[in-house]
Amino acid sequence: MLVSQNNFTTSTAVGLYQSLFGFVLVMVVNWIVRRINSDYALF
Amino acid sequence: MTTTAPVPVAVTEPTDPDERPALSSTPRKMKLDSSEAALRSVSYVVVTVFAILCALPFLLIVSASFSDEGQILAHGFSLLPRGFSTAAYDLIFQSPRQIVGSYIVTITMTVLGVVVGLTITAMTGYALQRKDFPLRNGISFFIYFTTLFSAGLAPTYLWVAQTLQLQGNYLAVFLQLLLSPWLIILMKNFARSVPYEVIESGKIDGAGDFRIFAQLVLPMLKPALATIGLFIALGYWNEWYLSSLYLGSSVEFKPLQYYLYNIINTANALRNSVAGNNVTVTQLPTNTLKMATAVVATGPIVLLYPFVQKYFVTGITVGAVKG
Repeated sequence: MLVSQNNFTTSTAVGLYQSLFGFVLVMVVNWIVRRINSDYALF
Repeated sequence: MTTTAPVPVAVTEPTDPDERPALSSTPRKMKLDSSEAALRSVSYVVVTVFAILCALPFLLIVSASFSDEGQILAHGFSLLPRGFSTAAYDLIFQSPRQIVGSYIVTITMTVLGVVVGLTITAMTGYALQRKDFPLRNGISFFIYFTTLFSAGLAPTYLWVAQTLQLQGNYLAVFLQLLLSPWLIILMKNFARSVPYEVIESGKIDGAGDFRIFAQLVLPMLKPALATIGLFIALGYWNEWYLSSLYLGSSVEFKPLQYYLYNIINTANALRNSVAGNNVTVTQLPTNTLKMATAVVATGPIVLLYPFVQKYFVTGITVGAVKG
């Protein structure tokens, strides 16, 4: 819906929010994995 | 010195294929008990049915591409072509120069992309898993970061087309598909299974880092190279979106998929404009054209699969270190 309306600011904001949420999720999971077994951590 | 380096790999590589036929041929000589025979026949049936289910859609596409357009409109698609006709292929190949040029562009790009991309991906993945590389976590994070955050369509286009001046240049497509962060991480995980003792043995024998990589690590990474190489090749082969953005009509030979996409678009537009003008449609094979396009586009890559497929079955040789 957002894309079809050509609402550039909203769709960009949604994209940024998705990126930020994914970033936090990956960092938290990576932190947990590193605490359990640092060999399997991504970075 | 040069002969000692590949020894650990040379010892393990032949033993693995030798063991496989021995394992698979011994049960065949033994008399099968009934449960084994039942299991075997059931699995043969299941695999056969599954294989047929996979092959049927492809057969449908091939037969539809050779069908007569009017027959398809009247009766729908069928597994055997109704009213054999090559009108769709005639339309695709009506300018042989263009389609041959498109094939050359796509094949060149795919081959170059696989060679260059695979080399860089393998080197990056290998370096990132070396425990004695202090910056590995920082660089891994830097690479992974790009999968989450991207500038979006418009800024990327401005960057490539204006700042880098790559509008209408094949490099605009080639460079953007060359490296994928996912494949680098995948390669890093594959490379982790190479024991550090193998690298150490090369070091003790006096090999440099590049010789260790090329002669010890690369042969052990063959399954990974095949897998990731196939991903890169498919990426280049199926590419049409970037071509439509950056190449457009400014190059003489468009990449294959974009060229075929244009043919379908033109045929559809032509049919619509003709239909509006109350003129009889002169047998423009739009339905069979789509199917013929699919055959032309997938044909060569289907032929590639059997050669790469055997590497998917073989796992990574892990038994390089004895004792």
